[in-house]
Amino acid sequence: MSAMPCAREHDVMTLVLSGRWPESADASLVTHAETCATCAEVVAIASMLRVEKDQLNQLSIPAAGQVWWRSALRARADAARAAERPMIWLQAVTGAGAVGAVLAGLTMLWPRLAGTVHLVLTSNGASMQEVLPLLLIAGIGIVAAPIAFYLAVPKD
Amino acid sequence: MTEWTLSDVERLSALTDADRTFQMTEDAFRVFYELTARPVWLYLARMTGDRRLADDLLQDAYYRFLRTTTHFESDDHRRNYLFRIATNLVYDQRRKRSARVVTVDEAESVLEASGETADQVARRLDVTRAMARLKPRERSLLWLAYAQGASHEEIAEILGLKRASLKMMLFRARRRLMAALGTEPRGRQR
Repeated sequence: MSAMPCAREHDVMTLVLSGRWPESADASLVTHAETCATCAEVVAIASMLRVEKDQLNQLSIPAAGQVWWRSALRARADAARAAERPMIWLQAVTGAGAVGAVLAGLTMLWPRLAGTVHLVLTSNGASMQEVLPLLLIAGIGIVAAPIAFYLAVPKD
Repeated sequence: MTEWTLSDVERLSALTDADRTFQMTEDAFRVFYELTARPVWLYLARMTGDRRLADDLLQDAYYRFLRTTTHFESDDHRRNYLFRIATNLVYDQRRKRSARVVTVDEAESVLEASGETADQVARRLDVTRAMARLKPRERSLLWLAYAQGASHEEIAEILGLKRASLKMMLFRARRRLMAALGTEPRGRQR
């Protein structure tokens, strides 16, 4: 059997899709469809799908207005997300820069700081090992306080 | 006097934005929707076997359509483009869910409100199961060609296929459906 469509396939299908097969069909077309394998298959499949289509047509679908306003709300949410994206990048870069600047500052100032701390410790009789945890906590607090403040304050 | 709530104002504000964001006005959309929504929904319902999923995909398809910047040469081009979006959504959905056969419960859920007779239900389930055994592209081909009556040009545009290969693909899809339905193709009878 050839895979090529039959020349009368379109006529057959038009009648089936419009629900006029075989009543409105020419007798010769009906006879042809009974003998032509392609047209017989088309009649069988198109009739089957047409019944299904008619049944599905009984169901309701979302209203135009509903689809429109949902799309509008979604567009707005998408636009807000898109607008936030560069801000998030900017905040990340700024944060990384700030941390880097603090570390660089500490590295540069450490010899002078260490000298000052050592002087204070020796005058009070305390050792470096005893005060180091307190210094670390104070350092973390200095770095973390602005971040905590930023996160705690509402953005609007 | 009408009492407005914040959500009403936000909604109206979003609608005003929409006219600027979308490629058509609300009035034009309503006309286009009335012309196209039913066939697109039928296609989605048939392809997914799930009416609720078809509702969701319909919403998604129109949203993507409204956001597109494509220039349409004709109404047919616009309509085929919408069907192409719907087709891609169905294929994406299938990839997400992984390959599975439509169950009887799901098939029944498609038509739960249609008041069919037992014979009609049985017949429809046969078709649903047979269609579920086909590849998604075959289901698309058969539905577009033999339920929607789309031309070969339209099908090629919607599915992104070459028109020359369409005839053979349709032939194979027909054969596979008939085989899945347990109907011996006539061409093999001697």
